[in-house]
Amino acid sequence: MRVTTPVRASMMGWMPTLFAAGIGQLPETLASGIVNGCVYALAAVSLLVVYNVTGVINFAVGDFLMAGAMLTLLFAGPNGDPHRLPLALAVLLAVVIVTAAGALLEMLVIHPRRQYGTIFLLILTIGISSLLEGGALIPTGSLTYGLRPFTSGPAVSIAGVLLPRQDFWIVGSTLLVMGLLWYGATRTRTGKALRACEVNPTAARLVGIRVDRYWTIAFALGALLAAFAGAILVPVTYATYNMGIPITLKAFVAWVLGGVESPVGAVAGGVSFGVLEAVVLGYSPASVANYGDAVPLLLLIVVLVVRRRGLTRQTVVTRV
Amino acid sequence: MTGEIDRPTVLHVEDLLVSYGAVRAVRGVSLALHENECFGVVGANGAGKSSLLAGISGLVRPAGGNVSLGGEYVTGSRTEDNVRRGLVLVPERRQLFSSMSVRDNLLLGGYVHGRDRRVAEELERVEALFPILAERREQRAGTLSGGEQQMLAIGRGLMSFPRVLMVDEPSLGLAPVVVDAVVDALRELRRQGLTLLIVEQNVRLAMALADHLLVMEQGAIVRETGAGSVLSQEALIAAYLGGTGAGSLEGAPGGASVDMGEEISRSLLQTELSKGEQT
Repeated sequence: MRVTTPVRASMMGWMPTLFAAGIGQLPETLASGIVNGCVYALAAVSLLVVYNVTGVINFAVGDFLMAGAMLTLLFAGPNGDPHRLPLALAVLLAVVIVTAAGALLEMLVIHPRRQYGTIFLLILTIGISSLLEGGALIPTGSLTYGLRPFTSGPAVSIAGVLLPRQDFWIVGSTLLVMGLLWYGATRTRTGKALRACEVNPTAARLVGIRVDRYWTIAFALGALLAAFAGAILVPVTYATYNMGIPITLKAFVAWVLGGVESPVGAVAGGVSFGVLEAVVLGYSPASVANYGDAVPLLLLIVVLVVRRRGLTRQTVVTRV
Repeated sequence: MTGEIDRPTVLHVEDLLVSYGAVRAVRGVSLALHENECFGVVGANGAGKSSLLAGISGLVRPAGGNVSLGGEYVTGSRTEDNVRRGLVLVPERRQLFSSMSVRDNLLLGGYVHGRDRRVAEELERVEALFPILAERREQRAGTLSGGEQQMLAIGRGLMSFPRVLMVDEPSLGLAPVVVDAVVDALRELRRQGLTLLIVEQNVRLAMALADHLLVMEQGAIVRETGAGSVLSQEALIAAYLGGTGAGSLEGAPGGASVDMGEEISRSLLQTELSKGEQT
């Protein structure tokens, strides 16, 4: 993940660091938090879509993201090799392949075993996660790979805040994808049927919706969102075969933070988690920042203790 | 009702068995429903009425017997496929998409017909039949009153273009005034040519709608009233109300508006049966 360079701990300890050196970088820290948060938001919505339709918590979400990043790298070429594919085509191809893989994994691995219940299926997705990770290790080794930004050029300065160009791609395309998702869910027949499977699977069968098929669609859509997040993330981070699991954890926390059931909540959870993470890591001494991956777990404990239903309040009105 | 013999059989059920594990819920029920006919299945709670509909619709895979729709065997095929054939169930307690709008619920009823132009026409027809649904178009289904939800459930069923519409407990939990509105709507649908199979605990409602009443007990049909046999129907209700025989309906206390609902116990049915044998 792109993390703002941790501010060095001064000799005087933590608090003086915050006020003496760190405060000047706050806008950049927040901006980088929002950018990371967009990636968490996409991954959190991926978890949500799969969970709402199938009841499965997909712990392979981070590995779908990794696969999206790696395939984008493979097709586009790390250094803009002219013999490789154009960037847009590379992203498209990577996303299509991961989406198809998501659908296939659901049909071949998840579906035949769905009668075993959600805990079993959750463990199965951890298995899929290992499979994808191992599958990536063979061709990539344990090396890290980077990709040029989608648009080259120096960082853009807005009101004195320097923002890398890829940040605009990440935030803009996340907004676009969320908009498309909203449109699909509320305006299209397939989207409505997908929601029908979430709201009431029995009723969905009674109007002729083949719920089985929508399990596959949900996994495919989840894989698509994760792969896209990976593709837009790879220019600002280094991709490695094992980047998936920390992202899964962060996406999971972001999703829980957003209240599990609401897509808007998942996005809000993703962005607020990204900001929180950037601030915590940016303003703590390097010795603490090294344990950065513990942040989501600590936060998860806090959320579960303080607010079991997440940060969004949903009131469901039902009359019988 | 006299012309029913000329009409073709739409739904044919033979010796249907429905089990939940070791529990037999339906033990060998047979019935033949002709076009534009309305059957009412009555009986106490737990008599197997809903299981019968679940077995016919494919919601539960029957353990034995046969179901055919328009001559085609559909035994054991899945509900979602039966909907495509026109075998549509309006389930007990309505099963709406409660967080979705009234309009979306209706449109999802037409899901299997895709972008067919008839779906839009049917939507207009349903909204004409239940004007309240047109009024509450954008409201979430879960916020409707019980009666409105029942109308929405029936409307959603109609959107699937049923050849046979099965309605499970349309009066459940509704006030008598609301029940009347639902009955009127179902009667109007019959007039328009719909074939209905209704399961009800409320015998008065079933009688108001159905040509045939089938009385179910412990998973079997224990009594059937013939088409238009008004007298035996009166005998039936008299027995339910604890009367002494045909003709006593008028005098029964509260006979005109009693919602039998949960009150029909197995013992009452037993009484009714022994009386039926005497007459």
